[in-house]
Amino acid sequence: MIHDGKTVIACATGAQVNSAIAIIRLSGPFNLSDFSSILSRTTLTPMQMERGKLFDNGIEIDDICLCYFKNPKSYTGENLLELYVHGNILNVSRIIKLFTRLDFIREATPGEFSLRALQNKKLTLAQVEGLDLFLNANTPLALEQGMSLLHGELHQAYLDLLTLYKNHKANLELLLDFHEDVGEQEAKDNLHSSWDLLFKCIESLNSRLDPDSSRLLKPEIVLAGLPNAGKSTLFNKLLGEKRAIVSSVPGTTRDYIAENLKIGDCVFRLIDTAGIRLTVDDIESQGIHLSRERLSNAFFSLLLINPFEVETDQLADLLAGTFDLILFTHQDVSGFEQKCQNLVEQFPVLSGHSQLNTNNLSDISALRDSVNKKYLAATSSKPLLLKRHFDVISEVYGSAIRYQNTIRAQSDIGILSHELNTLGHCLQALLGIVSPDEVLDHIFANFCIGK
Amino acid sequence: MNKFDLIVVGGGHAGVEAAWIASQFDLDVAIVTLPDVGLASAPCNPSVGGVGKGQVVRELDALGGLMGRLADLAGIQYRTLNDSKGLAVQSTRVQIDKSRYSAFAEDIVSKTKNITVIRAKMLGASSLEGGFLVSTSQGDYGSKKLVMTVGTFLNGKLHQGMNQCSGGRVGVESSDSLLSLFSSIKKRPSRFKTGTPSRLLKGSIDTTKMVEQPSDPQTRNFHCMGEYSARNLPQVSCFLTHTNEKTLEIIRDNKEKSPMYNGQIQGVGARYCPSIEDKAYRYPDRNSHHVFVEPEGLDLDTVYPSGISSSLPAEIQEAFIHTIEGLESAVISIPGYAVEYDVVDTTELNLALEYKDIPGLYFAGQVNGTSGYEEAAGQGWVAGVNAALSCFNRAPVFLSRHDSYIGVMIEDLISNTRDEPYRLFTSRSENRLFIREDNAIIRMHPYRSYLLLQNGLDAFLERFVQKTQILSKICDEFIFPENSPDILEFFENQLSTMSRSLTLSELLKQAWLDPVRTLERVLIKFDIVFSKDVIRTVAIEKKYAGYITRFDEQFEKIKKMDGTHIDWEKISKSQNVSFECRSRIEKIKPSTFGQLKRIEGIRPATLAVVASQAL
Repeated sequence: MIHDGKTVIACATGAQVNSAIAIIRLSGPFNLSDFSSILSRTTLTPMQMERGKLFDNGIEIDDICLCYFKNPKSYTGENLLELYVHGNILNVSRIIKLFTRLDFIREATPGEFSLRALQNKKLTLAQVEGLDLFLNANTPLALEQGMSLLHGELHQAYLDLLTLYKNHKANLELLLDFHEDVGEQEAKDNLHSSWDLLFKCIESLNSRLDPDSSRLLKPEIVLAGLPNAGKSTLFNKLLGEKRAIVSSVPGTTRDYIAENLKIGDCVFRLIDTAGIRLTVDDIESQGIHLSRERLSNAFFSLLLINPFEVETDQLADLLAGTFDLILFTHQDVSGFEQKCQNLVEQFPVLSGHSQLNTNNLSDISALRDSVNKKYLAATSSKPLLLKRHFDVISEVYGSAIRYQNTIRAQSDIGILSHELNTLGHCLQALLGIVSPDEVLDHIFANFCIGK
Repeated sequence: MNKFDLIVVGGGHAGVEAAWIASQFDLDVAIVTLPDVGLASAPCNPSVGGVGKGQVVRELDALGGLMGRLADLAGIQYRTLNDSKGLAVQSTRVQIDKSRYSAFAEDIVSKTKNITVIRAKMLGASSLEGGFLVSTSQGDYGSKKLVMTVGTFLNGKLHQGMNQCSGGRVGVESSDSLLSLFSSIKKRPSRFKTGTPSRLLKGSIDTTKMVEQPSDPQTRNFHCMGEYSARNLPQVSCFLTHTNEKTLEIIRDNKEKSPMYNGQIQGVGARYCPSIEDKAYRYPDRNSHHVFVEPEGLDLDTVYPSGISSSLPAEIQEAFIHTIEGLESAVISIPGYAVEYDVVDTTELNLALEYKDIPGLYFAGQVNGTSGYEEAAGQGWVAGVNAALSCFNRAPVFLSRHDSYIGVMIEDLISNTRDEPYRLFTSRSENRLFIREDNAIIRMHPYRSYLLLQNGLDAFLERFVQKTQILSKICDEFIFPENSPDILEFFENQLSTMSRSLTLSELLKQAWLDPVRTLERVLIKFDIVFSKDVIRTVAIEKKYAGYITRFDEQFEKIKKMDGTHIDWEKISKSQNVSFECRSRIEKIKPSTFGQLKRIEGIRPATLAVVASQAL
């Protein structure tokens, strides 16, 4: 990331299609008068929509609305200007060029506005992550949680965690550095009650951890099976279009193919994998490796079995994994029932299987229903979606349990404070660094110090 | 004109330490001090040490400073603070006999042939041919290096009720615009303020109504080469009493007469050392505060009532003091007052406390915006030793924040402009389990050896370090076999007896054992003789070894990074550093990555750039 003190510019709305309006944003240490050669307005009232014109060499090129935000009261914490221009692709790009011709302006790198907001402490790292989650959400839960991290309940939960940590840390320091000021007993009581509050907060965040939750972020439905099991046929049926190449030659799908599939309110990635079999074909075996990887990350995994083409060893190998649903295909071929029965006798795990007629619409919609059901169940507890937050909170919780044991067993406050620092170190990754001065500020603000 | 290698302006705790350590290098040293004040006087509380500060005194003592020796000579009450909270966080505090403390300092200095005491008022100073010219009311003096330890005397102004006068403390004229000739020296934009309570006549107070706090005979004396706990002077007690609702009512009723609240005082006071007015106005729900009544000396007829510093008019001070139990008929000998003073912008100093733009000029003590005798003395040592080393063109010595509180303080001071007087708290250190009183010698020995002074102290430290190494090895290698009868006594009350063999070091880690007493008992059992100090240092080291190692591992990378020297000029020229960061870097001129990190407002991106490029 470049930090050259320049003003940056970018189109904030998607610029790939012609539309009525596009929004172009500028952020940096600019003054409005810097744009006098291209912009009709050199003074603007902050946070008010106004009207203006853009000029290229004296010729008017667009009639626009614009809104100015003065630092620090802006998204980035810098001076920020939003231009609401006509949303023709060519128009947008020529306006951006118009500005970047000025030597103190360059195009923003991806995410740079948010990065600047982070650096100017307008947003915390967790908020930036929330924004990213929000803007790239595929599911209602991700949308909701993104907003929650940005300004809502999760953001508040993290702020509470920070306050409670500072408060507990302050109470510990109080006992060491200021016990003559507040009295020994009061300091000790405060220490325990402030820990109880902090631990409760950590526990409640921890209860929202689900080791599978990262699968909920971009949930994948993975179709697996031996070659020629009919995976690609089902893939096409689900999407309602011909995307995968279907043929009866085993090993037709060599890589995996993925498409978005909307079920309920949620957008899934539907993934058609290469049939899994032992092969000497190098490209195919790479594809099979990818298939296994997709399977292990799947939110919903489907095993398709063509009872007419089963290699026992390879099926046994596949069945070692777990699947949400096992389907027998080629129901319409004669001898199907018998073949299935033979297989079930050979592999008792298959006794709970279902059948699927890909030509039967109700079969397809039943399949969609069971995916949706699983999704709703998995998200009902609103688990935390971001992997990093999951990792940090797990670590914080582990550290909190250790600290909890220490606080019960130790009267040595030196050791206690050492363990608390370890906990604080874990928390830093979520909340940022808490400096000794901040802890002291907290002490002086809340306790009558000075003997 | 008389010429010296080093002139120290100011004879307080910083000045005396600076002059003393520089004199050890056989340099010609002069102290310029005001005629009516004794050296190392204690204008505020009559005590040395305290939480965090006791560690500083022991660090100084092992570095060859004077404070620990003086405190022992003049000590009249010893206490171990945080006694019940674990061995790592214990600190020593000594009540001193103020007049004797100063007299002992005078005595030591007068017996040091290469220290000249010039009792005169400083009129000004200027740079002169690679050195300095100091003009005083007694004439002009030249020096190669100059250490300024002028305390609260920079434009000092006294406040007591409506009365104001110029002065750095009561009865002593201030050195107004002392720095007029150093016109380029940058000062903090706003002044600091400090205050002190009324002194009361000893005979007029009734201590029978208070809680007595006697001297603790077990507390280790400060001076490492001295007796363990035999005292030089008879010991006396402090007494604890409390303010009450009546006291606070009087203070709250007279708010408009308080210079701090009626706008007369503009300076910023320390939040950790509030006046009684502060406590009364800011915490309306609290109606009782501790008041510690501390003797000022064996022969002095005054006591210091700690906790009720005030700048209210004398008659109001008297009225509220009379509401306090035991002080009903107390007679005020000197009323409390507040002082406002100028403070140097310490971000202009380097780790040696040298003013970056004027080589050879050093600042130490309260003029740097710190409070406390110990903080002042610690800085005095650093400034004095580095001024001396630079006389020989030797590289300066920088104390690290990872192994000393003095290092924590100096780095905190030069990295940021503080917004209130700076005092050391143990919470300022990241490495509290290691920076302890008991291992001050181990921690300071490398710094002291660097000075190459090789006198009695150095030989003592060397032997001490060797002995701790030997005992440490014994602890690691001494193995009690499974169910050894020799250690059964240590497991008496424990359900689990040791069913495996155990080293002595492992035994000392057991949570239910006092490691010091345990090691003493084991050594007696096997007739192994070490001094009490060596046993204490090793036992406590073993107790915390696991935690310290874990800390070191966790922070190994950070520590390594923090200590890495960086080229600030190169960084500030880098295109990849924002303008705002650049100007901060140019101002502070950080020499290590850790220092850069602690500069306020340095952005994470800048750190990333520096980490990836400059290191």
